[in-house]
Amino acid sequence: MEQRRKLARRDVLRGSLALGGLALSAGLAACGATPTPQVVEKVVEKEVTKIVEGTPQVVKETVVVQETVVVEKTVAVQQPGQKVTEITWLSHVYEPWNNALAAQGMQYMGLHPDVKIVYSYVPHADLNTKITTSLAAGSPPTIIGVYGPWMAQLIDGNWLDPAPDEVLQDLDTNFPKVMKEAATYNGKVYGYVQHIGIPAPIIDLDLYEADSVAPPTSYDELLAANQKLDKKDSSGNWVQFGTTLATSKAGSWNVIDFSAVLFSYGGTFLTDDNKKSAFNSEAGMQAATIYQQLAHPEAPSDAFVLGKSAMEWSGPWQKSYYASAAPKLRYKSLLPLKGPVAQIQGSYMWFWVVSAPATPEQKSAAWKFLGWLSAPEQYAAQYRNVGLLPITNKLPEELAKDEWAQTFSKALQYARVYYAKHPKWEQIDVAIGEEMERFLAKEVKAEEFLKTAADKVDQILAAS
Amino acid sequence: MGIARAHQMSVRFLSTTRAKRLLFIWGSLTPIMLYFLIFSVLPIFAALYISLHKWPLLGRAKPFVGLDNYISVINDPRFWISLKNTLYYAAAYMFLVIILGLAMALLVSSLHPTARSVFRPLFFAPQVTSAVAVALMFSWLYQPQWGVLNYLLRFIGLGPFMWLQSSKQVMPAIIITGVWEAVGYSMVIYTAGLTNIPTDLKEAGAVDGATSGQVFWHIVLPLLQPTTLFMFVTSMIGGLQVFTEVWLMSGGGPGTASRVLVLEIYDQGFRYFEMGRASSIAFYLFLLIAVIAYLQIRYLREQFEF
Repeated sequence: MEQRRKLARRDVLRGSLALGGLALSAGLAACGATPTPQVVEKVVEKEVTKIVEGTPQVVKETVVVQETVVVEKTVAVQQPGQKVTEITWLSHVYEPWNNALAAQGMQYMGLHPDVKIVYSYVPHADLNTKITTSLAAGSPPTIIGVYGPWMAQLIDGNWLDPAPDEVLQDLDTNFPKVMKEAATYNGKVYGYVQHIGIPAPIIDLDLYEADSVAPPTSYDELLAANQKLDKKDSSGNWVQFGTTLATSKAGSWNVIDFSAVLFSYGGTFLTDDNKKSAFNSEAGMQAATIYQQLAHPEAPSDAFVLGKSAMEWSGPWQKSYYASAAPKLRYKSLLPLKGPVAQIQGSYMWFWVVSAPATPEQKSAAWKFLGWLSAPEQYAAQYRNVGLLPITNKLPEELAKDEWAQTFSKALQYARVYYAKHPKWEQIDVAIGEEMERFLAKEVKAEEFLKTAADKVDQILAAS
Repeated sequence: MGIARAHQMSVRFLSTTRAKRLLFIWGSLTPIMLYFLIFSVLPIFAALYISLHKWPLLGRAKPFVGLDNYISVINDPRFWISLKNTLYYAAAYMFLVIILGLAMALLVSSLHPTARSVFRPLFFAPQVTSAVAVALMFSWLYQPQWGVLNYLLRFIGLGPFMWLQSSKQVMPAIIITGVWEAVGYSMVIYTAGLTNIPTDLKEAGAVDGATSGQVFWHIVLPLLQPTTLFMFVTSMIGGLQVFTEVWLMSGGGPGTASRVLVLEIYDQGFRYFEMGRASSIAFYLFLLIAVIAYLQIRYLREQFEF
């Protein structure tokens, strides 16, 4: 028995050694110069044969497929003695996106052997901490993916490099005006828009058709449609919601969604000089009342994919989620809804920025790389791989026929950054979001929500 | 000559048993002492230093402000809301964990050994389950419209309750989650305590005509007092440090209904990057834990000595 145990142990050791060797050789191979194939997820329409009412039929289905992308071969080679500039590049975790970005980085290195790009990412919840601590420690990444509301604080501390003239020219020529405006602080532009989170209305076509309701174009039409689409059973329990919007302050989502209604009814969060709150107003009152009718805190967060909600607001990336979570869902994105004063969708932005402590060579290489990364064909790659909306003036040719992409692209003209460019926006956002949670749970009336939130915001502004 | 002699002496000393023991002790303790010094003791002093400064992580100037952070924190209503919620959670959590843990230990101890070996790991399982998974699972159970809890309560004519979306129900909902996770640990500790009670004492009580209730009340419970003291202190400390469940299930909401002190520290430190303020709240929490633990140990030890 002891002998057998020893033999087994020896076998295990031998096996471990073999595996270790294999892992080592694989690791060494991975460190070589050959570009590594990347596995990326793509949303594609596929023709499949299905039995529909007893008859085999070819139907189109949207599915997520994994595809191995071999990065473009090196077209330029490093010259002997040529200096290589290393730039570090930080973003947050979203696997398909990270794979696609890493592949783009490798592609760029293939084209520019004088640049070495080291891409890394951290969980979304840790990103701001990572950025802040690395800046405070004096060792920030060269290129950073930054969420819009964090920008003011970073710029106030002189941590970001203003964009050079060629970037300004690129933004003027190739991007909608809102992109440059969003990246402008105190008269200076600080980066390219990485992506825009524009939560357009998305409807469940089956639920709309079942009640013969036309897709709404305004808040009035939506409220009228919900008269039919909101359904309860005989005991008063919800069976179906006409619309479900964000109710929790997590991720600022209730504030983002509310901003669309507020802006469309002529309101705004802060005064133009960012010195006082401005939403405790007639427009704020109307927007709050309507938002409460649309939000439904009792609904589960994924009511839409469960077929229990006829409308939700989400971004272009949601398509890949629908494909995996509810492949049979028939849906359509709509243009932002019209309010009595305007047609605006409150949106958030993510930016690619360059950190100020980088060396002049790193900054120059980083801006050039970002210019390349922000070209229409690279945005198109992001759309294909992750569903992030191309934000250049011209929609890449291959997407011109894509209805989903087209709607979101058209929606960009109604986009407005939801946050104020104020270094204390995070606190302001939390103050509004917290009071909104109580209001949506029907614990306080609209007047109290607006007054309490406005008082809190004014206190934050007065102290800053 | 002197060096050779010293060398000889040190070789002789090192070959003695006492020297070997000392070498072993210091060799074993040094790494953990260094670890403790670098990662526990120094950060405490660093936090104290930071709490006396205005320390925005992104600011280049970090001036000394004395006790300003401590004063501004106690003038902030959010701190008092967080403190009230923390004490509410900790007190409810401590009592429920102790009472339910003891009840479960008594129940499991009274079972047949085979049943005991089944139920003990079953009750302990939540303790070894990821707190994140537990929080997410309970969030679904509490879902107002299609959650299992409201569905079951409907059969007895109760609800629907809004649970995590209601300012009044959110804290009880989070307490239930925390207790569900921790009660298995309490059960194991009490089971160990019960095992240590000599059976002849219980038998003597029974021979003298005591009912099982009297045996429990006058023999078992007093002999479990050291275990109860341990549970009082550790579960109170655990309760005062609650974060994960609150962070994942309610984010401190609705409004500020479930804000707790550790969440306030996290927000100040890692959301607004005001490290001075965050450190001062951390010291208030440290003082709170120290005072409560001291009072518990002092008062309960006196009560429990027999």
